[in-house]
Amino acid sequence: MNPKMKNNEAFILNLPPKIIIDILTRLPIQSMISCKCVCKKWLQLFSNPDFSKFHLSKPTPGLIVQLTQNKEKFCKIVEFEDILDLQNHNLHYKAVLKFDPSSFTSSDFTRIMCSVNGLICFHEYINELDAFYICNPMTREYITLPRPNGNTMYPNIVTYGLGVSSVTSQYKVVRIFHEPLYSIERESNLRNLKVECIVYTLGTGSWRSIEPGEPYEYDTRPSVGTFLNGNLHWLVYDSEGVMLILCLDLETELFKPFSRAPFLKVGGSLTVLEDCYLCFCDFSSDEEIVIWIMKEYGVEDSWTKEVVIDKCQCQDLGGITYEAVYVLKVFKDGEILMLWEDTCLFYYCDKTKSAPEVDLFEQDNGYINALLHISSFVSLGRFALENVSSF
Amino acid sequence: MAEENTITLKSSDGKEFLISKKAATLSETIKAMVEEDNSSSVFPLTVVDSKTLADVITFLNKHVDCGDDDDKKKSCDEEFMAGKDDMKDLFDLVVAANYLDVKDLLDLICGKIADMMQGKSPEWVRKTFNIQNDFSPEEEAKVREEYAWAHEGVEED
Repeated sequence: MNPKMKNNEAFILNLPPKIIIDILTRLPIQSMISCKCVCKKWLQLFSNPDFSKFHLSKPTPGLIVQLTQNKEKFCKIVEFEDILDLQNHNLHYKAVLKFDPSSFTSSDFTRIMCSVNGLICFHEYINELDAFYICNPMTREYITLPRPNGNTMYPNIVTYGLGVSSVTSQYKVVRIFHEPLYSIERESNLRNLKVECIVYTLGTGSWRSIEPGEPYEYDTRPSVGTFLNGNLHWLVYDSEGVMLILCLDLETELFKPFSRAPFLKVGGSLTVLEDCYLCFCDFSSDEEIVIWIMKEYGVEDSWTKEVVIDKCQCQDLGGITYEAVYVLKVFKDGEILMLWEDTCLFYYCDKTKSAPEVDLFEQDNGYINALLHISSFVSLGRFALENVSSF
Repeated sequence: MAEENTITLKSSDGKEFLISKKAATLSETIKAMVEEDNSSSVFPLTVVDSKTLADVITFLNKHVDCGDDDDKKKSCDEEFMAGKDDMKDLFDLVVAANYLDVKDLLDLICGKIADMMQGKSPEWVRKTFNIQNDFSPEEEAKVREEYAWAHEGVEED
């Protein structure tokens, strides 16, 4: 045998596992998964804790989209290819995975609620009760959380959040429940009769109560907390009706007012851009949508009006007023991907003042929901005391 | 003066290379060696052959020249990688970069190998890297079925 060949043989297998993981985790998801079939040694690498750690350190941003197509409701995960000067963004998605959450939920009434480190929290809202599922579509694992108490029907207000604590890296689901006294004459909520906040730390198997903080009134529409820097953020109103951002530190589990909202009228949404900026989208006006960025996290004076979208100039945007609008991603060429809640995904291009709908998903008229999402191999099996199932 | 600022690296096949201390200590491993043994001027690297070491030294010198200029580094790296598509050479470099603990070089080579693997089938990967398929047909079918969605649109060769 040629000694050089022998030396060459399966050379890659002699590399330290750390290097093979470093190489494999740079691949797009499809190629990465494809490498699972190469040999047993590589298959095992995927369940190495270093694998998800390496992978999360260089994530490829993408979306999880929930939609109906031909009357079938399902979820799709795509990755972005963010390259400058693209003519058409629609072509620069890569579909990663399609799955049907109703294969593990008890009904079809589920909604993607949050996505953190590749784990997705589904919220089920059947009748007056709600339920939660945590799922990693890449590892095909899910956990069904025990059902919390409390009637979720109007006028009760329930808001949620999922995040990771900053020091101990615990994954926590938060549910805040308000039972207000409702006045029919005034058509409004008078005061809160009951405020309750419960937390479910993944791996503990049960909900527990925490101090709910000041009795703010939560915005009912974008009712999911926005996760950034170990904190969950909600838009709330104080007793004077002034909108502000409330934050829950997932490590200390203490609520505290975080910042005034940059614009105080009703109708805003909070998202995170580039993994580090809080973005406030004001969609309350009939004429324009205003996008604000908090340039320096936690510094109230750093709110900057970044983009103003004139709805009259964008024919495609006619009618967007009452549903929530979320800013999902700003691309390198400046185009902005946005979600018009439950209705459509669209791009805004400042250069051409146009806002075409993203039609890649060919959804039936009526329903689409999307969240920023990165795929990961974080296994739910790492959480003790959880009954992990596969789908 | 020149002597103080340069050291000699000796490859596994006995060839000697003169390199500035500044460039050499971009390698964490060499940095530790130099700090430990201040009196020596020749440092043997028993796991890096002369061909690979020459490449590593080119890389280190280029990076010292670039300083903190990231754009310059990027174009230097492109120039350095041009024409490097022999797997064996890339493996030698990745092993050397890992041993010498040069993070920028390790990143560059891992990225290059990943680029070459992108969109390729498991068969291509096995053939290219000489990896024996140790799955039984049943086992392989099971893994493939679980991830059937990932194999759509993958190049066959």
